[in-house]
Amino acid sequence: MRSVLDKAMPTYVLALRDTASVALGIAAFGVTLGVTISVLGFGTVPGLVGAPVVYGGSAQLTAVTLVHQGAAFAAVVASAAIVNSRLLLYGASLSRRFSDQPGWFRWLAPHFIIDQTYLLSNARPELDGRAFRRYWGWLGLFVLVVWSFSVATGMIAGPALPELPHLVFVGTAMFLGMLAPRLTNRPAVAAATTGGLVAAVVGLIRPELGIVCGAIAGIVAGSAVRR
Amino acid sequence: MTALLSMLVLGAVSWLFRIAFITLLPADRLPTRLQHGLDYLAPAVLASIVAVELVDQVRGAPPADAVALLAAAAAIAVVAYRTHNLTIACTLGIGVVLGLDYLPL
Repeated sequence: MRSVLDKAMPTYVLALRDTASVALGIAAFGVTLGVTISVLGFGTVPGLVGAPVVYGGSAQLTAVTLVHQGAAFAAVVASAAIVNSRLLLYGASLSRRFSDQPGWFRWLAPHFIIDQTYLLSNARPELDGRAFRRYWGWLGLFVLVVWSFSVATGMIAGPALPELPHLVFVGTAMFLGMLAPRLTNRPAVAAATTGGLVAAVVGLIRPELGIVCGAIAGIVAGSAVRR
Repeated sequence: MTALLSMLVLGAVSWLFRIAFITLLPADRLPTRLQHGLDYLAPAVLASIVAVELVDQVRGAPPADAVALLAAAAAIAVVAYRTHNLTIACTLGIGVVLGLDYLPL
């Protein structure tokens, strides 16, 4: 029923609906990052520029923390880049949907790839060609606006906001909400179980490597179970 | 200046990561097994993100908070599995945050 209704909807409405479904989780993390930027004295301009340019909360948070600790420039960029290295996997997974798009789109539109946009578009495999292009453009734009506005709110209004030390859990709830419905077959369950375990163990030792190592281990496990 | 420069360079590196297998080396040129393996990227990466975030939040937290967070995560996963509704999951997350941060436990 949902797919029948969705097919009749303009792509910007689909994108807006999908953005609304993750807005709370994105806003919670964005505000947390903004407050951290403010508290650690990272600077208003770098903070505001970083939100849409880096467009990756965990990577930006890593960079903000390391700059505050006085780490060398190369170490800051390298550590944060490792956190964002899962973007390589997202790009590879999305490649087929970009393959028949115009050149300008293949060069510019991948900038919108983040956890949420990858996962939301992954749940709409029926969109291709022009429909995907429009959906992706709107989705990327809406999510970028929510993200940047949330970071700015945290930076500017941080001191006035009520203290919510567990706020980041809203983002965790959002990812759980995306994960659970995907556990519909044995390979997916194996991928998630292995990925989660490996990420947790690796993350205890090297936090910046946890997610990418878990993702790779999960892919291997899922493929092994399918065979 | 280091802060701004780090954001710009990190943005450029992240953009290269994003276009690497879309524009520079399209993934259809990768080995078939690798391409099929990417079918499981979504559950693998989602579970990885959840695991890393939960470990980070539970580490160093008071035992009662840690237990509450893990129990809440399990409950939200069950609700999400049954309802397929992201908004409900996020709303439950907010309820947990307000409960942990404001209720006198």
